[in-house]
Amino acid sequence: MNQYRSGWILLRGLSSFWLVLTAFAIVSSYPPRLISITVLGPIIVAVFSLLAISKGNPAWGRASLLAQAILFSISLISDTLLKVVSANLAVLLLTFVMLLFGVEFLTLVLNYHKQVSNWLGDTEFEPNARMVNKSLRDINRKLARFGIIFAGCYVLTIGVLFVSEVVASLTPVLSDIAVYVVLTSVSLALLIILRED
Amino acid sequence: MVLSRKALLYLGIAYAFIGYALFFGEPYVSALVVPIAFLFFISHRPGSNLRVSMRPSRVLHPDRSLGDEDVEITLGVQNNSLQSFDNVCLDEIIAEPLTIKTGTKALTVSVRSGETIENHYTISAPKRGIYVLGPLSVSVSDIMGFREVSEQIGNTDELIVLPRMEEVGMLNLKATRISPWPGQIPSRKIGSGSEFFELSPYVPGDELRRVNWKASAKMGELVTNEFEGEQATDVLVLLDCSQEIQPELLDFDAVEFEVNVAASLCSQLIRQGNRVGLSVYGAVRTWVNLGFGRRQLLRILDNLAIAKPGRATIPMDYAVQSVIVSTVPARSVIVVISPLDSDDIVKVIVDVATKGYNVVCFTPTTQSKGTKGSLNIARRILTIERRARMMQTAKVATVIEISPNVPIKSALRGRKTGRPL
Repeated sequence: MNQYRSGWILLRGLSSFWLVLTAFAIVSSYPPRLISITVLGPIIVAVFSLLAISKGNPAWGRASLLAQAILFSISLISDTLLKVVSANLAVLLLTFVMLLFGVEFLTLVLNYHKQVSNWLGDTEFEPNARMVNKSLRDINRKLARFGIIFAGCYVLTIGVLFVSEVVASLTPVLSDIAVYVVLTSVSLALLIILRED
Repeated sequence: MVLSRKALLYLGIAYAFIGYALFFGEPYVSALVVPIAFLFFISHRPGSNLRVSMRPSRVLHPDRSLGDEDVEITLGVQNNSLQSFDNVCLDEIIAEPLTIKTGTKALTVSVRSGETIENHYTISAPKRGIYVLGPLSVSVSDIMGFREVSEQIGNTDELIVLPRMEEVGMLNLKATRISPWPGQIPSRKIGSGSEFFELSPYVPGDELRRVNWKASAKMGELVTNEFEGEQATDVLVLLDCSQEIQPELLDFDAVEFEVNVAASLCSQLIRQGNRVGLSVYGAVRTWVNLGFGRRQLLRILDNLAIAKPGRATIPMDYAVQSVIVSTVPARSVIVVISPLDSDDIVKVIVDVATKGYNVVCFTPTTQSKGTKGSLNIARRILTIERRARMMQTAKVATVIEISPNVPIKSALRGRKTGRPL
């Protein structure tokens, strides 16, 4: 039973750690004049995520994600103002993908929080132990899959950028229509989903 | 199947990035849309169809609770489709006043094709009543949670919490009418009871152990002891909860106490072999015909479980008297359980008694402690009015005052010993 308990604690700790790590990754590209936000941002995210994880309260989780979203927006705006978006794009993309992964990680932990904590309170009851085991296996499996998906996301985006750079260098006229290419791909994705519905 | 709020939010973010890129002339920002587009592609698996095809089953232990005990619920959900679901949210819909003691009624699971999930949870000892459990709310979503289908599946089950019963001991009823069935009421006829009735001359075939040797020696011929037969009678328990006493006036819930008394009396009367019926007059009016046995007791308890205080639309004298006279044989016993808080019930008792029924009235005490000021005055007025009605009732019926602090058995023992009710 202790292995389930420690496994669950480790998962919660990891999710909290991931959120803080993402916050640090976002603020790492901040210019020096935003030092106060650079210091305060990760602290706020850490506090909110710890509250969310310890209480299993989705409201604190949302607050933590919102804080990260604000930090990311500040990063994007500051890069735009400094005209360094293209130079920092790899970092921006990485932090964005980390942020999206954090959303899934936190949602996963919060979705399972109530039931796993409940069952861990009475693992002497054999069906509870079985369900805890199943839930932890589910979480680990989903987490591994999300890891692959988001890593794929990042690699794919970098690949798309690389290819577009190559194509743009060969035919400079295509560089201006990059936005329209993206628009078309999103619309296509939506079209496929909505057609299924 | 609809796009979830999460999907709409992600789409919003994607278009915000595109808008941002266009507005600030930063085409590279639009690259941030690629991960979102990729997630949408990933979430859609060709050939997958989100359709809830699950069969729930629910086991309640016990399904009829006698109160003061927790109820264990086992919910089983079987995935009947050929598809496995990774994100399934199950939420059991349960009646409002029920509270979960252990376990959880809502859970997130993954279910493979043909797999059965079992969830156990316990409900804290609920109050008397009938509660509905179910249906089961099921929500299935894709890998990323972008599309979801929600449905309510399965039937509802009823959890019946019966009123509490206490041991009331032997009820010595005074019945002027006895039925032909064996019971515990002296019939004033020769029968197979335990009380000596008379001596009679010995007839060949009589059991030798019944021969009274002392009397035979005195009389010079063989005589045998005859015993008094014991038969059952018909009893109708009439529960009056037509008026609710302000809970602040008493230390206890008067209606709940009356219901428990009714249940205890019915149980004992049926155990004594009588034919027992029930009439509840209140916000919910119920009627159970006279009957014997354990099934009859369960029927009565089920009806008591739904008793609610409140004024009924039909006048009491019509609702009660007309039914009693037409369905309960004359000279039977009518047990009235009432707080005697209105003249209507007194009128009904007097009318029923004048029609030849033997009426016994159980009334809860209004004695209370710790009330002050206007509440105390109100309680005293209530007590005086009730005393006057008790005196009126006592002219035609046996009145027994009962209190939740004193067992009914003791209240009955406190009356003149040996005198039937």
